[in-house]
Amino acid sequence: MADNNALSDLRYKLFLRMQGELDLTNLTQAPDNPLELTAAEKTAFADYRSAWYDIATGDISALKLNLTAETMVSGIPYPDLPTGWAFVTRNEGDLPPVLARQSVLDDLAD
Amino acid sequence: MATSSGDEHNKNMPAFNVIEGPPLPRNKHMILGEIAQHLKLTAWSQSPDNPMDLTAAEIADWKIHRKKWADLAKVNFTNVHNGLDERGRNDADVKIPLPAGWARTSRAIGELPDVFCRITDLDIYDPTSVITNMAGDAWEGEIMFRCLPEDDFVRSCPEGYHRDMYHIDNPE
Repeated sequence: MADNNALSDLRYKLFLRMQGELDLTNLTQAPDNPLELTAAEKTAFADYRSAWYDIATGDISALKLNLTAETMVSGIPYPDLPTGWAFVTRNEGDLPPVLARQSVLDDLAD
Repeated sequence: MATSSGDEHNKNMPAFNVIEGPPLPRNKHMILGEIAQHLKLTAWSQSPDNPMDLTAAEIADWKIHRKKWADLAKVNFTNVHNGLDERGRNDADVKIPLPAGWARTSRAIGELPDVFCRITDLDIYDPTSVITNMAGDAWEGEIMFRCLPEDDFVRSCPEGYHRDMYHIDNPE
């Protein structure tokens, strides 16, 4: 039997999502700590990032392709962002998300 | 004497000085963009929290790999092509292998974003995915500049294509 040479559609989607999650949260682990995370927050984000790696490389037998689902995969055990943090965007799904403390969010977008 | 963008005769001009031309040739800018993108996409390999559980050797290998990418900025490439039909020749005479045991893959090369994974993460064998470089040799994980013109677009594959891929139309 030939060696595997490709990612399955579903696993590719998980890797792509993980790559995006790591990209968006890279600054939480930067040595210069530009967002002034506490030690606990840095640890929590490290756990969050690690959880995405576990999702991308873990068992996919319970996951299903669903083109209307987030990441086009249903059944992903989404890890929770650390308390007090959120991804926000101007219009969900259309503009790039940014990571922000919930305390900096204003109430203009009712 | 240099004029600022706030001067009256420049009020309808872009912020950069188009009279003197852009600061970089198009190809050089493209290469710098590719380098920046690659470093951004592999930043996890040097992150203190090591989210992908790299060994110390793997971290060192990725550091070397990234340095070689960064050094591409110092190369005076003369054989970089932007056109859709020419991009296959954009190996730029520089090959930078991925660290041993790693692969860069996509759903369809050049059309959907690349992801990096361990070779052991590859979970299917696809006989239609025998990846070669443009010379027809087996792909060994080297980098290639793949330069998409601005008017490239993607559409879904025709029916009957057994994988749910997307591809870029060739205008020819």
